[in-house]
Amino acid sequence: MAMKTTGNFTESGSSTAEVFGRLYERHLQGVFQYIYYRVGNRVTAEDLTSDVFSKALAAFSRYNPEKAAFLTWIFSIARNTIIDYYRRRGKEMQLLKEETESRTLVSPQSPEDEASRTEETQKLYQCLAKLRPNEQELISLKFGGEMTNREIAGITGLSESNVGTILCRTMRKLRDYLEQ
Amino acid sequence: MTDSEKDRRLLENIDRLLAGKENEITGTDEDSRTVLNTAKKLASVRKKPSKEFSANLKAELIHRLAEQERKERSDKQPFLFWELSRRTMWQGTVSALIVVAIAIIIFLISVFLNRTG
Repeated sequence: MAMKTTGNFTESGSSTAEVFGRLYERHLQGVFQYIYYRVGNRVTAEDLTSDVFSKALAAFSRYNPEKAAFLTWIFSIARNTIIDYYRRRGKEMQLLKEETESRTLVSPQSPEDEASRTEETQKLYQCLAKLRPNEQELISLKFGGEMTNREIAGITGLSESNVGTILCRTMRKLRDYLEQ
Repeated sequence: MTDSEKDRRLLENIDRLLAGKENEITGTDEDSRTVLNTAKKLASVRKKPSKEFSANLKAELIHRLAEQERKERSDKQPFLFWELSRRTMWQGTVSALIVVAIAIIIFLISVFLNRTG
């Protein structure tokens, strides 16, 4: 059987484009949703998702599946991309929080975002922005990336039980903010 | 039920919710029910990437990958003298060398003929 290799990533009978294409199809939605939770608008989420996959493509030949699952690898790139994004714009999470308190999580840039946000959704985003950065991160990975606690632990470096504890605490906090 | 058992059950129920298995959610008290309602709201604001964006980005990435592979292939190609003529950048140089060589040969022949003749 023909074996094609992409750096250390080997799949039988597949070209690099096919392998990367399949991984792209499998992870695009999760990466996009995760980024959307973090930045709060579609245009920026699309730009950052493009950046993430471009970086992944450029480094794909160096990716070693024995060291980390593709999911862990791609989400690590996504996390760093978001950190760079806020650093580049000089917008630390605190600033984001202040902006949100005055209006919304991030001012929606597309009419679709504006239209789709009901009052309840607005409030949810406002409450999300009140959370600490690490809490926002876990919520985004859980609900955007649709990950198990073990997968989140692999990305954040926290223990699985710690992820669970923080998630429960954060969900209760979010509920209380919403009820206020 | 201890707090940690309660949390474990809550996390399992959140996972069920995210997996679309809402009907399998079990054993919830008032606290967990309200947290799960928050989880439902959170899950409901998820935005999928548009089909147009997904297709455009994929096409762009595949194109970039093909370019990357083409460049890597040409960088890895061994240097073979007889292949010089096939490379566009060398074609002009090779032609010029041939013309110069022919000119030198003609010059040498004419010098030789002048001396002997």
